[in-house]
Amino acid sequence: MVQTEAFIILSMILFALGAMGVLIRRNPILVFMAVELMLNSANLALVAFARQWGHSDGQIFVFFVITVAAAEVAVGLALIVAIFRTKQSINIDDLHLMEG
Amino acid sequence: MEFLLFAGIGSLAIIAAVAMLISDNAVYSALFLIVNFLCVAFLYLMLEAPFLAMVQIAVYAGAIMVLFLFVIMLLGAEKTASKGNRSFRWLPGIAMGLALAFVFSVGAAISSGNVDGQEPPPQDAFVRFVHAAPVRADIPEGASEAQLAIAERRFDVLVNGTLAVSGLEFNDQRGVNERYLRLSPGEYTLTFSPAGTEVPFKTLALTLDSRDSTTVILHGESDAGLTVTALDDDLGIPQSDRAHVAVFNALDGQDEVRLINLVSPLVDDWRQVIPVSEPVAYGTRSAAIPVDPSIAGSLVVIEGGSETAVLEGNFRPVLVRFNNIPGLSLDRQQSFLYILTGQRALNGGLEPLLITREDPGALAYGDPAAVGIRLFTEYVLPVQLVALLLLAAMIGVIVLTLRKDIEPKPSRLMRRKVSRPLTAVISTQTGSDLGPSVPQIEAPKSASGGQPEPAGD
Repeated sequence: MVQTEAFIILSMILFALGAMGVLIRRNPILVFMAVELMLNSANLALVAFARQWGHSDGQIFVFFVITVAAAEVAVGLALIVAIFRTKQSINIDDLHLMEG
Repeated sequence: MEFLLFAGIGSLAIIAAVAMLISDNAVYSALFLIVNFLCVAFLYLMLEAPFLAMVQIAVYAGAIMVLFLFVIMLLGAEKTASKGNRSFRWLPGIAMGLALAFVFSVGAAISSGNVDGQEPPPQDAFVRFVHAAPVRADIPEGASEAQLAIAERRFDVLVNGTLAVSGLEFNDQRGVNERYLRLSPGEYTLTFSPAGTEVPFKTLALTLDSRDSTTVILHGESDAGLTVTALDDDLGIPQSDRAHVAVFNALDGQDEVRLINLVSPLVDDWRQVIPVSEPVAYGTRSAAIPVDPSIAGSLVVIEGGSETAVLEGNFRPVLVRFNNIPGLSLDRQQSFLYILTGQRALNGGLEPLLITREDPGALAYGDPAAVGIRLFTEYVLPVQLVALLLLAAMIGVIVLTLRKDIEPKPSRLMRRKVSRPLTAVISTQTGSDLGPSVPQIEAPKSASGGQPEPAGD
């Protein structure tokens, strides 16, 4: 059985990569993908801890996280499409005006 | 070997994540992210979460990534590298440094022992208390509270001296006279005392291991004959199309009991029956017997276990029609323990009564069925809330994407482009009649719509 720490370290690395992606990339679609990566690493940690403590609550929380992530992606991508239609650009650096 | 597999899958996940971050083409990024999700799904399988692995593949690698690819291709935003116009050139370096510092600090915390490498803690053990001792017919008058409780067979159960189960009573309604306890593994002293008093009546030493499932049965007819027996619930793992059945004989003062296989539930000739179990003496349990749950009434419990009694028909059969007992059906791959007890009838004989239960330890950790059962029992409210959230998100997406089509801006732009040459053509063809009227109509529109545009660009 692979130790829980190994999964936690892998989860941390993936989370750090996702956080870097959110900060570095300029394309909001890629930023969203990085957010998904972070959510996934958190899920991995939850499942690893669920096995560590032999309790399936962690797995159920992961199920909820996946559901919320699906809703978030749907709304986020719709926002991106809406912004693209008004601005003709989705570069994050161009979206610094608070006007409608 | 398993760790090598983990290391391979884990490094593939990291490589896919890095490739996703540095790829210039958004479509490639999405495909690398799918690889990463598949790796994580495989890791879920290694972590005994097959349900989540399937959800991960279906929802993440399937639905969400298709949505991403769809939007990328809809917007034509494949090329994401736009260097030279960055407002914060120093940000990536800082972000990289912060991220690496985060990883290293966590690694340091782990190596210094903040996350223990201990084995998973032991699981709770299930203990079921079954009251299978019928109530005595003659209740003594003027008896003390304890004597009355004993006569009425009302008992409390103390676990290591503390009250754990109160008011365990005999009742011929199925399920009423059984209670469950979850106890952590260890050694326990169970004390049965008359209800309301804490006077020890019967004691039983019990050693529980992790995930044990034990049935503690109180049986016996006379006050002096009351006995407490502990049984291991493990009836083995049935084959895919079979169920396991065992019978515990709690019929005090009766003959042995045996399970026989009845070829047809309506058979008249009892000689057609085939014995499938050894005779079960009072206070003992038969071995687990595999049965076909699709055949109703395939088992019979007979008092009087001798072969001659069966052949001569000199016995009192009790039909156990598994699929006809209210609220109970025998399902495949389940284990059932039938406790055969009796209630004192008017004629002084014992009316056999079956107490049944399926094995609570049947669903192991990570079993999709176990996760599903918990989702729809303990977590019904969160499931409903998440469903509402998804509904709200769906409506929000529809509103967000529909609103732009209602706005008149694109159609106005098109009309201005098309209508000017058209009016010019019309005016030249029909004379100057149309000419003066057109600018009067067009001027307010272009003045109101044309001015905000330069600001917007």
